[in-house]
Amino acid sequence: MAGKRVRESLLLVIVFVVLGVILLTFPFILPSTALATDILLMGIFAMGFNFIFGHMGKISFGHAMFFGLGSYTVGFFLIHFHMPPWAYLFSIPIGMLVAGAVAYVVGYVCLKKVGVYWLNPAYFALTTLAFAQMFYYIFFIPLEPWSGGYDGMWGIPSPTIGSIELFGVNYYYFVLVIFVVCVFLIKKILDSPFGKMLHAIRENEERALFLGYDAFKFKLYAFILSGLFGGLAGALQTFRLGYCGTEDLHWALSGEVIFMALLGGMRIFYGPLLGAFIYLFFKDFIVAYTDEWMLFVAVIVIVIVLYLPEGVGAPVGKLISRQGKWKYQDH
Amino acid sequence: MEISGSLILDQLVMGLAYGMILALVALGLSLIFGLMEVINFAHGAFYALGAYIAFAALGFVGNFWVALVIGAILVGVVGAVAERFLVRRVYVEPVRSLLLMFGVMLAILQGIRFIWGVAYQPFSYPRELLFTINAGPVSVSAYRVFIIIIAAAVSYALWLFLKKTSVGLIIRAGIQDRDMVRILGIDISKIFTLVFGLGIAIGGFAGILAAPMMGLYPEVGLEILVISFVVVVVGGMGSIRGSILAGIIIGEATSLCTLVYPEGSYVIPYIIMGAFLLARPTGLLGGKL
Repeated sequence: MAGKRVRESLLLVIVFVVLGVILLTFPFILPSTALATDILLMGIFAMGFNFIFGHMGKISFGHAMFFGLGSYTVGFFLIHFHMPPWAYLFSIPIGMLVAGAVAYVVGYVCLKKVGVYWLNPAYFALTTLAFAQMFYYIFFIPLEPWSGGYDGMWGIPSPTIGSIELFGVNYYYFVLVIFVVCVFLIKKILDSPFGKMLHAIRENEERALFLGYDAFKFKLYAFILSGLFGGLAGALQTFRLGYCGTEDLHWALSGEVIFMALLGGMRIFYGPLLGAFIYLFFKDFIVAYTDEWMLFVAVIVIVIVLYLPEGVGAPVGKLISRQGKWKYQDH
Repeated sequence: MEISGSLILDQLVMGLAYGMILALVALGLSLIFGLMEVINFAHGAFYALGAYIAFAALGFVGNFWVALVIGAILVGVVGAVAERFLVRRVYVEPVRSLLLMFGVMLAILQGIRFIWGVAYQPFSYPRELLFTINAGPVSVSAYRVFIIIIAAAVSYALWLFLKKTSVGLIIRAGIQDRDMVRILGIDISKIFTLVFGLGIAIGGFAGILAAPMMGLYPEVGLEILVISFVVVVVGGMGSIRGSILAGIIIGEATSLCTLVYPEGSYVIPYIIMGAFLLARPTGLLGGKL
């Protein structure tokens, strides 16, 4: 039916225009530019993380490791290597590569042979958490002369493109461009045969193996991919704050990213993004009144796990699915 | 620093005491995972909660031994209640149960902060064990020796319980095949509650034992949780002997590493775990009790 199709396309265009306007004016709608930037970069982190979590069905409890490696790489390059200002931005891809390389090694060790426990998707959480803690201590103690230990590294300058200093709102738009590219890329990857393979592993890893797919390879690739996005988010955050510290490697951050994906809906494409938005927005709000915001997180985690396992994004997704083309896909 | 023989012996005893604490924590984790396939992320928080309850009890009764028993029992009850009302709903889904326990962990952590504050609090040694034992060139604190003995006794008692009693038989059967036990007409959900409470009580017990040495702060359980994950991976999930053996290995490795390269002592458990994951992924005694 042509009429219906036109209406659907129109709806899609309207949705994109509205989203575009919101994203472009985000720093002015929200209480602060910093919050807007954080939502975008945490969105990248959470969506990258969701490759492993929502799409592949394994829990990684060590994703702060990649975030932290990305942020420390930027810190090390700018503080210790004395690069010229035009080269500042190149530390971002280097941070990604470092995180990706570590993801390769850690993923290999944690996924290669996990004996009889590989069928328990939560077993992965133990080993990834342990390796993340290892990196935390490495940066905390043996590397203290360079990493600043508990104090972290301060005074990281803003990057520049030509004569434009990427600071405040400028930096927000820089992150926005990267964000849009990332979302597009993640969508492409998930729609590819590789993405379908991840879902196959989530639904039944044994069956995927029996069908002749090398599940290990796909799991490792997905882990590396999410490591790359984690490193990117970490690198972007270092420039946002002008600082990197051990909290970027802390297990609490690994918990936060799980929380974002869980809150927004780990099985929905945009779920982690929605989760990042809700979480950071309310954290910003609650922190002003009380230090005990973790209590809210605890209660929400328990309630969501017990009563709303699909996250708060699912009802919205189902609503949109009534409109036809924007089907609520069990991504 | 010169490394003398007596110093090494001293570190060995310290490592053994630390290793036995790790073994006790890992025992509970391993047992709960073995029977219910739940990775108890809140185990470290229960460990801390046990220590804090004992701390409060110590304030009331002033006797370490009474506080030790009260703390372990109460935290076990809290664990059993958590099982009965929360964990039970998500048994078959490992991802959800882990996330649930993560939520419980945060809740306990915040509860502790709320009631006892975030500050470091000293936990006094029992008066009866304040002396040191001198054996030849080494002198060790009696409390460390006590930890080693009592931890060994608790794990042996657990071993006997699992091996010799009829409830223990059901637990062992459940570790092998839960559904078969259920089919045989045994109400395994009661066993779940029992094992969950028991595992957590042992974890809390370990927390109280360690408290005089490490002091009290809300996050005290987190570090131990991660290291005991390492112990469980190295020892093999669901294996009691494996947990004890791995606990001792990790404890001694950490302790001896402080002599040679103190900065590396934090990292050494993870290196051991990585080696085990590659060379022997089932752990030391995976699949065997």
